[in-house]
Amino acid sequence: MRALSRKLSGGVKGDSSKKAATTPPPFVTLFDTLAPAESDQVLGPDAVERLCTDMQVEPDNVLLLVLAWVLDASKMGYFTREEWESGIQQLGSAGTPHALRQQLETVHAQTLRDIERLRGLHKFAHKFCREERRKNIDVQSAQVMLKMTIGPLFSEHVSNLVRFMGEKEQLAKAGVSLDEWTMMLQFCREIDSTCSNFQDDGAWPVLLDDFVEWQRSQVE
Amino acid sequence: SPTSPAPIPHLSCPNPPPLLPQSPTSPACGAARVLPFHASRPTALPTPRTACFQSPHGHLCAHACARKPVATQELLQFKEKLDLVLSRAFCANEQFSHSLKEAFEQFINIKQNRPAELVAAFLDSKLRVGNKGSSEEELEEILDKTMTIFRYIDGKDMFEAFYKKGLSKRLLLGKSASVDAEKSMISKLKAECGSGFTSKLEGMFKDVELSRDVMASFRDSPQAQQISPDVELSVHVLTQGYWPTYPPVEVRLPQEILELQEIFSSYYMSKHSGRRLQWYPSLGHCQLKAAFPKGKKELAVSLMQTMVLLLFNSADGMGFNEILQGTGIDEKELKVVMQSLACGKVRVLRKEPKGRDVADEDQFFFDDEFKHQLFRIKINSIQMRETEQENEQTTERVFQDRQYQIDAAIVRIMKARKALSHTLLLSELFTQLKFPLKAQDLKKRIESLIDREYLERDPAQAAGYRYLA
Repeated sequence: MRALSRKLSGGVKGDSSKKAATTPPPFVTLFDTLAPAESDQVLGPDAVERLCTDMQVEPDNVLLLVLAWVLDASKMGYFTREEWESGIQQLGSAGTPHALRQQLETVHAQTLRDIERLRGLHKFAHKFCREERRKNIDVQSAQVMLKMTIGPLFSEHVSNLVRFMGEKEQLAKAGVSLDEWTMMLQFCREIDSTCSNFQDDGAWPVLLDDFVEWQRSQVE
Repeated sequence: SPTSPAPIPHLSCPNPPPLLPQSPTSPACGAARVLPFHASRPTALPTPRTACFQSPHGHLCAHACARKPVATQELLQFKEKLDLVLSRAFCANEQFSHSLKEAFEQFINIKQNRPAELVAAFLDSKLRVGNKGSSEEELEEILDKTMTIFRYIDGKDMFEAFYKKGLSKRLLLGKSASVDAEKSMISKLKAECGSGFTSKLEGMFKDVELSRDVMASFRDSPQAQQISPDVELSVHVLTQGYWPTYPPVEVRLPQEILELQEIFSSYYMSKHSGRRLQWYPSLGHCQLKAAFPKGKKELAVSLMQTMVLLLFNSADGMGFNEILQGTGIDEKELKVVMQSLACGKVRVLRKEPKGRDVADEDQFFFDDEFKHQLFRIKINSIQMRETEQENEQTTERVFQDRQYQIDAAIVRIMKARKALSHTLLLSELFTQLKFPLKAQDLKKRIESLIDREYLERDPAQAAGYRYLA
């Protein structure tokens, strides 16, 4: 059924008297490949899972986050056609899951080397995890996302932060705010592994003051 | 300057006043030992001088303070002794005097908020009726001495909140020992802290005076003629804002009382149409005429107690739950009320089964055997007491209020400066705000304001903020 509709769209292509139809970029066509027959406008969790299988990555792979970020997806596990098409510029030539994976890996590598882009990805991760009308993200999401976004670059700080967040009771209730989240990245970049250059009375969020205190107590 | 507590040459003063009872085990002995000091060496004071006043006795005293108001008396005596030691043993040396002040301030504020609460409670006990044995002059002296301690308290807003609560009860329940003493205290506070500090307290006095005038005109009014001659109504009209905040309480007032409220409200609103009256049943009190078989009595009771007792006009016995339904008083509160009527020194009601605690299944009966030597009996002392819960609420409210003040100050400063470094913002706040502050508390408020998008971290400077219009 789907193969037929694709052929049909291909057929329309040549008919210049009707529309000035140009070949859609391979990336857009990929959407059609993935989309379930019933609703052409959204890729849901099943379709996304199939994409992962096709790309040969686990669903919790960072590349999915990168994809969501490039597309500025609003809801985890879903990509609308509109969102998908906004990614044409960066991912336009990826017509197959395999090609898409390669493109995403390139984008990811670039992001890790460029602080502005990394900030963007990191900030997006917070937005992506926020439940409706809540300003903060829960601890579990924070732990997963932190490892994903900046884990590769700051493994020691990240593993400590992840442990700390799990132990801090108040966090379970309040969640992690956007300010605390963005400052975690700054912290990882500026502060050395023993926190020796951390200023106790600086402008760091109180959460990070507590983190440093916690870390120092762990050492003892 | 020498830093070790080296042996200090003996002073020519023959009888240095002892700081504390000299017991070999008392840690305060250490302080007494430092006493002898050479008067002719005023400049080379050993640095441990602050230690001898600050600890261990200072800490010892701070723990005593946490327990009850009596400790404030101990504190006053302690301060007097310190001053005596300073003047006699150390010849009122300026440096020593300065470090004494610092040490005292530090130790008083060790347990934050408690000194404010306790000094206010101490003053309340002195200004209230029933304060035995203080003549006018003695009272004046006590108030003056208390002011010397008051000066050291960090966070005088906390003191104001507690003092207000005490004053409110004294004024509304007619328990002030002396109006002159009350006014004298206010002037002392005013002299110390300025009129801004005492304006609300003065407003409370004005309200009480005005209420007297209001009641005088009310009694002549046509509305008042509707009141039956054997009922006397007295209303205090309080300007919200001057008085402590009382939580609104929903209860089922008896018809008679509702009618009285209506009558007064209609009179008052006819004179002040733009105002809104809110009744506070928890502050009300009554003189109830009770006809006991063994003798008529007048009972001074709270409005809550009145509500309960009036129920017994239509039934000789009632269960707790019935009373709960009939009055609508909060269950925990009602249990306290029932205890005050059936389990205390004066029992106008009989409880079955007997016992101090009130259970849901308990039954209460009008005590037809009731007798008492006095005609007028006070059973409303529970109203004068501050519960632990009330004190916690007062403290909480002051903390909340401080948070608002901090937020307002941050916004005000940032709006004026547009961008400011973290250090400068904090130093501005420490200058402008007049209560104890920790950098951490300020940071939390800054983060809250960032979250609410009043400010952002300044991208142009590390550790700085920018105002968001």
